[in-house]
Amino acid sequence: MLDISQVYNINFLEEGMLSVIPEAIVIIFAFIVLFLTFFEKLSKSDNPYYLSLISIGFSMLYILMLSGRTIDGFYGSIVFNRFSVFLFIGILFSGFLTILMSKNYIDNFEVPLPEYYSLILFGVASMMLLVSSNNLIMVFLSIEFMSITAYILTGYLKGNLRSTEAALKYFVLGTFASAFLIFGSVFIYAATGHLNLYNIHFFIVNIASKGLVNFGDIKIYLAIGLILFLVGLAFKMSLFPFHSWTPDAYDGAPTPVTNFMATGVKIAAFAIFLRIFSLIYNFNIMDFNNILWMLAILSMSFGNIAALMSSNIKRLLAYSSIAQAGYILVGIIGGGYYGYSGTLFYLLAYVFMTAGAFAVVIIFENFDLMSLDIKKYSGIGYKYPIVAAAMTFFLLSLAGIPVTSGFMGKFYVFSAAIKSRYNLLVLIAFINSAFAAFYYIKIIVRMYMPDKEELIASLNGVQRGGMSGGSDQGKPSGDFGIVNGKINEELMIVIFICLFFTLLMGIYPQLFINFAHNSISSLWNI
Amino acid sequence: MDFFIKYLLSILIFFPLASVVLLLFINKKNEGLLRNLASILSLVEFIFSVYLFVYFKPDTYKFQFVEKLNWISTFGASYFLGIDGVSLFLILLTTLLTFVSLISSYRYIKDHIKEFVILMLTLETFMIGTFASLDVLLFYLFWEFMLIPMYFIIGMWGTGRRVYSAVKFVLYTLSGSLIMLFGLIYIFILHYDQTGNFTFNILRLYNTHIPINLQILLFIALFLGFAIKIPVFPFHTWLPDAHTEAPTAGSVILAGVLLKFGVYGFFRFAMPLLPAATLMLAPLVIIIGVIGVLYGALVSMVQKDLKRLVAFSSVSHMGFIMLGLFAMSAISVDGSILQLLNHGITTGALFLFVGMLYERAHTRQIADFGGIAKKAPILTTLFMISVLASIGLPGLNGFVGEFLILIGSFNHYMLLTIIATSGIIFAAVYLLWMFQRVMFQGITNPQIESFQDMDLREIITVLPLILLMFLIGFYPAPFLERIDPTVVHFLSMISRHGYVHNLIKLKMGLSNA
Amino acid sequence: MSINGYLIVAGIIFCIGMLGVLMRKNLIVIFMSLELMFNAANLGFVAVSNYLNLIDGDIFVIFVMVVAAAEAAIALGIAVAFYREKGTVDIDKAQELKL
Repeated sequence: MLDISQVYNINFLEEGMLSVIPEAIVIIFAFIVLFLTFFEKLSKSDNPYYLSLISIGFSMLYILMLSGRTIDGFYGSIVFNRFSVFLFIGILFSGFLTILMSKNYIDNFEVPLPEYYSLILFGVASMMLLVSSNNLIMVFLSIEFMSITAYILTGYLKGNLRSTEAALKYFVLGTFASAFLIFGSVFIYAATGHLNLYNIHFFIVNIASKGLVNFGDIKIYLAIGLILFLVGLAFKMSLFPFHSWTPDAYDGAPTPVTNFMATGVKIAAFAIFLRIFSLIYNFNIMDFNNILWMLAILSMSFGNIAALMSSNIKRLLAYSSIAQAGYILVGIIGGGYYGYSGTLFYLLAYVFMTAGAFAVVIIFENFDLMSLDIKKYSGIGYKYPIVAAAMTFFLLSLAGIPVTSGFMGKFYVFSAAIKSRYNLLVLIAFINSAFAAFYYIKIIVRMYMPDKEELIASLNGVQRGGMSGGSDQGKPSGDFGIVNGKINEELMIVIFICLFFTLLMGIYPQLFINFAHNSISSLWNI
Repeated sequence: MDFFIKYLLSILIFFPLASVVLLLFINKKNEGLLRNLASILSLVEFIFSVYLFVYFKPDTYKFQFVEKLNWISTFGASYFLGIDGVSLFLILLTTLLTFVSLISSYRYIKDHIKEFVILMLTLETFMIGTFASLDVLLFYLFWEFMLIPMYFIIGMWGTGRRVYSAVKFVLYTLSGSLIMLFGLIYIFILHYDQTGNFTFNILRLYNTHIPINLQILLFIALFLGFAIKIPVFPFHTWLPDAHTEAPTAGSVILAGVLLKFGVYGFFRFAMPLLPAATLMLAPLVIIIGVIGVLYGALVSMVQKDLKRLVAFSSVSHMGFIMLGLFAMSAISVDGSILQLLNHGITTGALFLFVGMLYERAHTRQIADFGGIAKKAPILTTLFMISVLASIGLPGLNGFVGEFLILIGSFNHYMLLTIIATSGIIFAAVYLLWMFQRVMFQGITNPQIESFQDMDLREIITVLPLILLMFLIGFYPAPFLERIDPTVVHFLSMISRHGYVHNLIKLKMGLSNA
Repeated sequence: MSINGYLIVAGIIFCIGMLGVLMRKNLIVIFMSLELMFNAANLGFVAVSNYLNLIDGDIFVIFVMVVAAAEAAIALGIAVAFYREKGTVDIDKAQELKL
């Protein structure tokens, strides 16, 4: 392994500083991008966009150079280990794909560009801080950092009522959740006297080994604290009773930001939950698995039923993400090496399939409400064969059909849960995924098998007029005309990256499984 | 050549996929080339698969053409292929029927040719993969993805309520498959608990000891998955819709190959993995099968739509096969497996003929036909042969299979076998009645006046199937001698647990019905 | 002496804040209630920190206050944007996103 400290001769710095270099790179670039605003010429061109991509690349490079090491920084507040490396890569990919998607999308609005990109970079940095934080203060700070960037990005479309309203709802409920988070921290602190996660972990292990019965007050405080903390995190993970912001925020936000929330925020929230759960919750304080069990079932059932009834594709994907959160939770409930690495695997798979689906949504989005209706997808299978084929794979992956990463992920977490004998939970999860297939297939039906009239309308535009669009035979007519997609290079790159990983993780997942396994091993390597 | 034989199964699986890649590069307007190339490639694939038959050693039950590569070592899943006497013929059937259905659709499929041939060849890859894999996870991967091309074939080129039928087909089979996957994963975990090793190798999973109560629950889970695919009586409702609305090629593949997967699943997975539950629940399954025989036959009698009639006759035939399989005597299981092939060949041919009638008259209503015999003697003759094969006339293939099933199961389940036999009589009634109304009588429909006989392409389409009907009918030995060792071994695997069977029968007072 | 009393008071304040968020319609009042919830936590931290004779809790409080200020800035920004478009700060008027 290359020793960074020797290459850069930074011996005089605390080694702990190394633990935040990946985040620091992103943050420094975020500031550079932000300062571009002052130079009119620079900010008008594509510079912010390219700078953001470069920063992600640099950060990725550093992570690969540092990977394998475990570094405690800032008196144990930040831990850089293989667990965070895995999630950094997921988060950086999420940010990278979001930036690619934004390029042409955000140009359609009269909004300042450098700030937009710098906010995305800040968001990426905050998520990275979140997954490597090891102290309740740090957890709180990075969650707030992440949420604030997300609030601003959600409401970024100035003068767009839907965007503002989404930001408003997201803000109120997000802050509400944060309040639960810190109030939970109070009780955890009161019970243990520590804020560092490892110290809390040792404290709990210690008293758990002596039998918690004799520690009356401590046990009650701990139970209250952990429940409140769970509520706060459940909001961020959009699990069922705490999901209500999800559809609105996803719907109103600019679509690249929706993608960012659906992928980045979700994996960061799940990662920190996984970390805290494995360190603190998983002892006989009370039966948290039963609580999670209920949350998982409610999330997937509610998400699937609501998705089935929605006709707006962004809302549909929002509800489906609630259901997916339920599936991911099954892995955490399953527990152990197997379940936790399955959770990580699923999270990474989820990033690619969701990002791919949102990229396709962006292609066909016309900035009016109607263009998000799934009716508008009629016949695009014939007009845009590659995009539609990719979308089919993303939807199949979300539905959990084989040769896609979604199947492997589901298989992984569900078998982990069966291993821990949560049979009923898995059975319900299986029934749910059969049920969920229905609404994913509904979109595929739209794309490839429109009604006869819709088909005729689509054929008029495509076959007889020729692919190039030089049609003299008339345009798509009626309410169900084919949407004209705006395909551009960036979106195609996103789609190809997502498709590549979705299929690779579905066909030969061994690489990623090894990676996830390694990461999990460092979770207990205290 | 050594290389070719050694990796023949992989070649068979991936050759169609490679063809798909080739076809992707051809302009979609070049329809003639697409059709011809796809047909030629599928013919090449069939010729490759004949090598399997040639190089197959008939006197052993052991898996042949075995290939094993690490795939997902964490789960102990491997790329593990191999065939025995049963999967050998099912693969041959698959390659033959894919070729047949590709050349049968020159007239039927008019638009989106490129998508069609690509989907057909993709489907072929996954069908062969399902039959060839000896690793449960690999099997499931092939098994479930297979739904997707089939779904597109029904939904994009079907008739009438095609979308409804396609979605119904996918959701039915998907729900069953997921419950089945639950069962399979459970067995996988049980194996881990007992040995400390993760493995999906089916040969090792056979050795898992599962308590009888659990076996019954798991058997139900697997039963749901496989029974929906077959489909066994109460789960059959997707079948008539899917068969009726699918294009001819889709119906041929659906009836010819996809329905076989359910039985194959029982044969390869459910029964050997859960022998005690199999022995215990066999009478119930047979009762369900016999109900299916009668139900399918009775419902066929009242059908007005040709394709629906053939579809329901499948329900009846598959009930028969279930009877033979679960009677679990060597002869009856031999018969069942042979009947699987027969059903694929015969029903495939019947669907081809129905397709030809539909292409000419643009209707499938039996009442709209009549008097075709005068206009199209060749079609009438060949159709007659297929109908007689389906009825089970001696000298044709259907007779051999049904006869073996009946003798094999008569000793064990006398009453049920007698009831099932009435299914054959019903089959004769509805098929001959249908044939008489379609082919003879006076011409009532003006469309029939200009009815053309089969052209060369169509004769080539059905000829291999007709020849096989005679071959199996007169000389089934080459088939049976390859199937038999596998079946004997299969029964020995189950009867290791035979003592449990007797014990349970004593307890429950179940007599051989 | 136990810290139960302090925590109960903090809990009561937290609940008041929570009810405020859930029941009030005026955005500004909702933001105030959110602040109240944060401050309830602050109270708890200070109490526990003093009781345990540790300093981490006090540090946490400072961070919470800073974050709360940042949140307030965002909140008022969003509220102003909302007011410009709707002419009101009644949260029940936020009904664009119902489908």
